[in-house]
Amino acid sequence: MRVLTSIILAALLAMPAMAAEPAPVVPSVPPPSIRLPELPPSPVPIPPNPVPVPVTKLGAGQLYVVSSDAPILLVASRDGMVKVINAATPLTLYANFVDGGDEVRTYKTGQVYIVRAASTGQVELIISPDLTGAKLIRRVLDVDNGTVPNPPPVPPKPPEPPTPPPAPVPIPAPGFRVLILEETADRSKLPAAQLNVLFSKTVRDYLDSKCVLGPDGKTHEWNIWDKDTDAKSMGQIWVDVLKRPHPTMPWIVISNPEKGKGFEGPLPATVTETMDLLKKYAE
Amino acid sequence: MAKSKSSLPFNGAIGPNEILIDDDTWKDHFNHIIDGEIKAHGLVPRDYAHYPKEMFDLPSQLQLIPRSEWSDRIKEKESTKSRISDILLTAGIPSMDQDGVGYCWAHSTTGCVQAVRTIANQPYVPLSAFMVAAILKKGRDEGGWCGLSAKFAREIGICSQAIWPQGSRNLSLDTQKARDNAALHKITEDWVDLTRDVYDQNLTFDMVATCLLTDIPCPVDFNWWSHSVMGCDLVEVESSSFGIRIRNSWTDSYGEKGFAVLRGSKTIPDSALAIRATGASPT
Repeated sequence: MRVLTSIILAALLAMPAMAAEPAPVVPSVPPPSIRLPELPPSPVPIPPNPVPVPVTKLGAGQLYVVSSDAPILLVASRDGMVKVINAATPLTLYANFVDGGDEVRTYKTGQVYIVRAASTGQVELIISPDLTGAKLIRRVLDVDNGTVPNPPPVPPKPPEPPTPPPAPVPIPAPGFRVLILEETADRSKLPAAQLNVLFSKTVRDYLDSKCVLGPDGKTHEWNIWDKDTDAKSMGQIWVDVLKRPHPTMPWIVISNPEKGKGFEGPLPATVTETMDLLKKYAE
Repeated sequence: MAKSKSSLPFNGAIGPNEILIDDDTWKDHFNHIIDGEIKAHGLVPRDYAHYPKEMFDLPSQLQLIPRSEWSDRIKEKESTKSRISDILLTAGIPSMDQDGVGYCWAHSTTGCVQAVRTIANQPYVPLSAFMVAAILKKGRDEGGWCGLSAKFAREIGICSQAIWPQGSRNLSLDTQKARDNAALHKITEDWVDLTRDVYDQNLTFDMVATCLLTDIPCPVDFNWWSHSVMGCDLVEVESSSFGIRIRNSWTDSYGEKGFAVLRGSKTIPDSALAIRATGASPT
């Protein structure tokens, strides 16, 4: 303890003597001068980082310029957010600088990195002064190039089942119309009850009461035709309806465009069933 | 289509004023003079020495309705007003008028073509039987057979009375316009034996009955009457005694609006065919 005290006392007594002597001059490389735009920090919480980090806003048309006397490496933490240009000097820029507004700046020597917004969002500039990755300098930019930010990726939705197209009305002309198709050669093969549908006064009177009038102003637009009838003279709507499938005989086509209803199918077996079917689509 | 304002006369088998022609009464109707007026016929008597009476066997295509079903089907058609006569009277279609000229054999076919159009609910177009007969007979007042007029209607058609007036045998009316209009009213489907000559084409009574029960009208020729008329309805005159309701071409003043019933041997046609379908046209 007496020895240590003596050593400390000797050191303390020697300090003025040391300070009094001129320090030896050792040649040293001055540290690189890296000039970064300095702006009043505008701390913006960046989730999920709980620590407020100074963020510089870089808008559309602005330049964030980093210049250095010595070579440095500057990269952006995210692709596509900024465009980084490593420009050669000497360089004169007339631009809207993020730390100064519209002005002309000249960079005579050293390295210049020009950064501008390429998208909208946040990005970190990472600067390596010694090109080794050690002692990195970081700056966070909040860039906005004026476009809508890329939406976050959305998980793909399962394909929706196709919506079946609405069945077209069989006769797309205004008015209630009915067509019964038959094979006249097979009339005697039909059951008597179904045969009566073709000629029943009840059915015929109902059709007269519901179907629109035809071009002659007297005859209502319902027909009972042999399936091989040539309907050219009756108008295109009848030509077209005859082209529609009618796989079995006798067949009935009911069309009511005003109500968005239509039916195509086998002729019902009785007058009662036929009347029910007609009323369903006529009323 | 004009509608008849009168009630249908044929409630039940025979109307109260309907003419009944049978083996007992036929001679009363053989007379060509009725109410002081000469009524023409036009059927060429058959020379049985050269053309023996033959009947068809059951055809391969026409499925006959068994006689056991006739009575019930007749009653059903009477109750539902679905007979050819009902449909014609409801539509207001008048009898034809051969106007004292021996063209009954063209009027029977033309009347049946009009009936087929009415059943199909096509606009009523009065058709010219005189066009058919005058062209075939080169304007002469001469008899024929329903098979002859049907052949013309099948190949050329029948024009509107608006173009070729009834009663006219003026061949200058045979123009392209008349032929074009006639083509709209062709017979397109029928039951007919085309292997035989036009004066020898016939159907059995059961075939005619089947057709009438299925609302397929039949021009029918009767040698006893020297006359050709429209076959319209199968009628049960008395229990299990069946006849044919015909429509004459002597205007509505004959019988009940032109209708009469044939029974017994007088109802068996000497030549006949059945018209199933015609072209569809509004004019």
